[in-house]
Amino acid sequence: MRPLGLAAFDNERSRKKQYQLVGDALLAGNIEQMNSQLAKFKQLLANFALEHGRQIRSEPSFRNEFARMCAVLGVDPLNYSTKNDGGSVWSTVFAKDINDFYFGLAVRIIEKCRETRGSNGGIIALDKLLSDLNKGAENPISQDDIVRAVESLKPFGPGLHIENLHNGSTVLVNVPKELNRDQTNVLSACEALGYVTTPILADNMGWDAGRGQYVLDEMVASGLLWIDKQVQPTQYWSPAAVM
Amino acid sequence: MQGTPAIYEFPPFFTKQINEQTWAAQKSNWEKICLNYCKGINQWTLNKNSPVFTNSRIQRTLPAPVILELFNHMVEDGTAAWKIPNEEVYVYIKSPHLLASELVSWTEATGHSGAVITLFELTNGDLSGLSSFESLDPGILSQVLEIVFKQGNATEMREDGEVVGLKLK
Repeated sequence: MRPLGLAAFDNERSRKKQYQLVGDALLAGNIEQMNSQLAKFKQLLANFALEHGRQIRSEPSFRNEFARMCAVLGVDPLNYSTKNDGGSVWSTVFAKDINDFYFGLAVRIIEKCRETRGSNGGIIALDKLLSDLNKGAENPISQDDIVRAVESLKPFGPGLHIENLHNGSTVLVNVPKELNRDQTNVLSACEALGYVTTPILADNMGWDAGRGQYVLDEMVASGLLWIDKQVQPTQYWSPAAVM
Repeated sequence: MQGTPAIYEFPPFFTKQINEQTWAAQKSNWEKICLNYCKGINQWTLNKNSPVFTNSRIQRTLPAPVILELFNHMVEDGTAAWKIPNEEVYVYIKSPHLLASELVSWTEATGHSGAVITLFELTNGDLSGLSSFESLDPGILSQVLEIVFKQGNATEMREDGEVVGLKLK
């Protein structure tokens, strides 16, 4: 018999509580199971990393697959904790392998950026960067490695990031300020011939000469483009793929 | 020209860039190219009309005022010295000090201590092991000799008031 009146509310409340208890117990069981499974997976992954450390370091495709596996399991190989004494399994496993690899690569990328900023204004084509870094390298790296190394530097701020241009090519941007839409458009347009002119911008983007000239002048002033005055009309070249 | 970097084929490399940082990078690239060019053909001078400043493949020439700025930069850098102000520079593919010490170590290594050699012998390529001095520009040679004399590693031999040779110590 259903109680009536105010008591009905109490009853409802206690029933809800019971459901909640059962639900919580079930959930806790599930979570525990999941956790133990995940822990097992992580342990296996750690063993795997230990066993194949050398291969992970030397073979780009192997490394990519490994990184993908880590991502699926929700493990960030670059993020290891040193909070607990002696570090986690991950710190011991990865400090020698993956971490050192990516941080080492990140340092080389930053050095390259610093070296070339004067001549390229802080924009490097990823293809160019890759071929430079692989010059004479015993263990070549892949483009994915560069992307991951750059991502590992994210906590330091937006000074270094990878940008996809409209035509599918990718550049590493290491200027303190973000590129605006017009500048990105100009860099994309440079991919076709290596340079742009105000008429080219007018034909392809519908910019009038004033707007084109303004954007180009600004980019030359900040070193993103090189100006060639020995032709008519003046050409504006992107150094990203050259330096 | 062989062995030039990719930037030598980059047309705007032949126009002075406005951005200070870019221009600095451009100058140091040009400096390297000039030094390599001179080394490659064993030439110790450059002027505004030197072929290195024209790339016929891309039909670009570095304008004369920019070349002068480049020369000034190289002089500041110690890789060049004016031969004729605003016209021609000595390019130090090796510095006079380095050449002087090459001469001294050659003397010791080949047992020429006490020998007398003429400037003609020194520069016509007859003395093996001293290829750096072969057809060395007289202006640079006199800078080198000045260093050697000052260091006391040789004494000068004069004829009609002009240095014609040196007696090695």
